[in-house]
Amino acid sequence: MGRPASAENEAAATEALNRHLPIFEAQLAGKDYVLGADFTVADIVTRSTFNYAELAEVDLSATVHHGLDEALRGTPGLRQGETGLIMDALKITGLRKTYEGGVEALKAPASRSARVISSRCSAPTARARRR
Amino acid sequence: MPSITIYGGRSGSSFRPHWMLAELGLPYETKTLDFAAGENRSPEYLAINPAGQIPAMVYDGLVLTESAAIVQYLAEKHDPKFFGPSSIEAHAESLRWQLFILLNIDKNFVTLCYKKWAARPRPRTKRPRRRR
Repeated sequence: MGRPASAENEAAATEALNRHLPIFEAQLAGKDYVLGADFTVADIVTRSTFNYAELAEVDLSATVHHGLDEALRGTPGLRQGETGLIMDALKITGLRKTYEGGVEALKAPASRSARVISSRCSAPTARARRR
Repeated sequence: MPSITIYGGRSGSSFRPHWMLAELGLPYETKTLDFAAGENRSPEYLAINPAGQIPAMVYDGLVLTESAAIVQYLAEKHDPKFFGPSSIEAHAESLRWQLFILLNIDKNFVTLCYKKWAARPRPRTKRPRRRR
């Protein structure tokens, strides 16, 4: 899990995200999914992380990988009820535009979809306070 | 049909098993834990996950924790196509990007979430004392 809120830890986290997200973005470039043409567990594990992006008010709404977004929606589970709704709200693609802006982009206000997620992401709250 | 219980709602890391199970179309039971009330520290839950974290899965008596491990198991058990191409190299590449995200991205997003979580009003729920 992450480190407690402090200006120092947040600056370090932001720096690490700006360094690592473009690497993941590069891996996605030209592919429908993380490993290429097929949807796999690698997509489930990596893309679920972007739940937190919304909660952290990291604005990922400037979608550039529309194709990837569409491909994700087309997978069977995503057509089923709530999971699909969450994925729609996440807009978890389109990292490139956001991270060209670096630190400033990380401070951008949460999008409308982010607020939807925030209300659904309440479970870790108490755990976060405990630490 | 296997008996599957997921501990943890659809938030955070618990989203992973919910998504995997939706893809597989398997029925399962969800148990949401009230962290503020200390349910994740109850003896019953610590018997399932000694770390007191979510998610955890009980699958026909098999107990698994760690969201990535849970989804790998479900994929390999029920539909290996979700596991990717059946080469050692493809599996290593899959693990590579999962670990990349979990170790380099996930925790940093969570760190940025803490300020927001900490700003919320504390619930007035009694919590059990942690044993020394």
